[in-house]
Amino acid sequence: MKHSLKAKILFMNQDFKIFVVEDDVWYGEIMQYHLSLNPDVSVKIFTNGKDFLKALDEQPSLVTLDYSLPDISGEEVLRKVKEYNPEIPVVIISGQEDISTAIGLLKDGAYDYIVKDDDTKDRIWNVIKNIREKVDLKEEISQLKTQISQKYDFSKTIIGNSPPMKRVYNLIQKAISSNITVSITGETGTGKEVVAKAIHYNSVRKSKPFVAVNITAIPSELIESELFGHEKGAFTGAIARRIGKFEEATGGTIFLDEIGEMDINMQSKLLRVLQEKELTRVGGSGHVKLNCRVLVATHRDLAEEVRKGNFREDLYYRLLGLPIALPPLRERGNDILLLAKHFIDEYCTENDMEKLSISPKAQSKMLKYPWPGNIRELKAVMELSCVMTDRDTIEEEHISFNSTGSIDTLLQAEMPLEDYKNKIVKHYLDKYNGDVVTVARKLQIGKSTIYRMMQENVI
Amino acid sequence: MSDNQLYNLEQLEAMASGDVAFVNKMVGMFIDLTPEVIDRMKDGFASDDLEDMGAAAHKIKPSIDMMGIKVLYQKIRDLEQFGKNRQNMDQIPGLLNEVVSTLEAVIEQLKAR
Repeated sequence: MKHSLKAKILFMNQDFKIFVVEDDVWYGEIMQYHLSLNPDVSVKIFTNGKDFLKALDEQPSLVTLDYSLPDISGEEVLRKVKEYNPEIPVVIISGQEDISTAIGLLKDGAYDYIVKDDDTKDRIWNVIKNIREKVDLKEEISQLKTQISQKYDFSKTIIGNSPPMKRVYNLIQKAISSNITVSITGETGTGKEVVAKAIHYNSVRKSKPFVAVNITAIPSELIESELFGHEKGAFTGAIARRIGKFEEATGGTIFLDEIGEMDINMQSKLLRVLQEKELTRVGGSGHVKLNCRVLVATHRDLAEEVRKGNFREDLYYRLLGLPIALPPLRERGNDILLLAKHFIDEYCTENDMEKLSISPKAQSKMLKYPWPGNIRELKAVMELSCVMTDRDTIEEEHISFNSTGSIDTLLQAEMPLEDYKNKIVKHYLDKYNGDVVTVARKLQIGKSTIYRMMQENVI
Repeated sequence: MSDNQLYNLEQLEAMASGDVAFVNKMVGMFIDLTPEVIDRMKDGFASDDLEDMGAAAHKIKPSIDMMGIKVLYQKIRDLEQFGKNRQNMDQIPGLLNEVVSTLEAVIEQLKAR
């Protein structure tokens, strides 16, 4: 955070160098004066093309070029600049409105075309503003890319020493060094997407896009155009051509999450695309070559879905590739504590808090819990516990699993029926702020029953 | 401002936002540089290089606009076009004469400013 801010300030202070190529000395003077009004802009005037081309090594941030120079034609100068460095923006300034010339020059790589009149100087300001924003964005993107690759350094993102995780590491390593399709399975919250990203950002494709698509998040009638794109007018509402996710991921990786939820018609379309290694946009006729790695994930047992007839067998085998099964958190033993420590440290650092530790009692409470929401749940529980504690230690009472509260979790605790009853009443009382009347009505029990439970201190 | 003043520095002054030295510098440059352009237009006409005459008119056009020489706004554009396209040849001598004499008068007025 601090680092990127610093870089930004550094950039802001950086000189914005404008080369004005203008053989009319008088007009050049006007431009120089006007543009120099901004203190971090420096302006240099060249009255002919030759001198300007010699000075290109000074790396101007922007060039304004009068189209009619005495020695070299505007087209020629533009071509030479683009040859030298295509990134230097060149704005053509012309005395007259000549649309065909303008279009020609824009095609040749000119950034903009401005007619010399009262507005010229203001329009150049606009251009400068746009170019700066663009440079800023480029800078930001390259910083974010670095941040991402650090973030997905998988020795830091995937945590755990348990035997099942050691097997997973081994498989991830294999996935990174090859190009094979990978199918990631695991309960919800076990980190399927984290693994997919770790594979992509450590593979040779890391500088290309990672495109994640959650099949369940897209209505089934839109999924084909979402994945493969569509041509303009392919269906009502297709007002422009759109590139699909597979094309977006060109050179990189596409991650199809919840692949088990894909409907059977779409499955056959996907299968054909993967087999032919090319796709056709919806409403289009041409073929687009496929060039992306495919990673898929599901929380379902796909083999079971195949047996039930919900998933095509041929697609199943095509997608299976290298299967990586992520173990549920409850089977990872001490990893629970390692991960908990990681999330606490992360939370404390983000919020400028002193580091917190976990009391032994709290630890054993966490180890006993079945974690149906897996790592995602653990993260939420630990963040809440950081908020709840007012000391440097997280105690048993700071750890609360209420947030998930699914019936399955409750059942896994295997308590006497009486205890279940108490738990349910307490849950409702918490929910309705201790309003006994409402709770009694909801549960269809007598108010006195609730009052008696309260007196007996069981709730 | 006298009634027959041919130029108007409002635009230039607005841009300079009170920087008198800059306005004076630009006026000085206009006085120094314009005779060259006048000669180029005259020479172009005399040697029947009407394209070059048009190009010279093209070059001085922004200065004329910025110096607020209203009477020449359209004339300098006509002269540029006629020269460039070699059209309305019969009007060119009169037009050139007007442009030149107006510019010379402006220079005198600016010198006396």
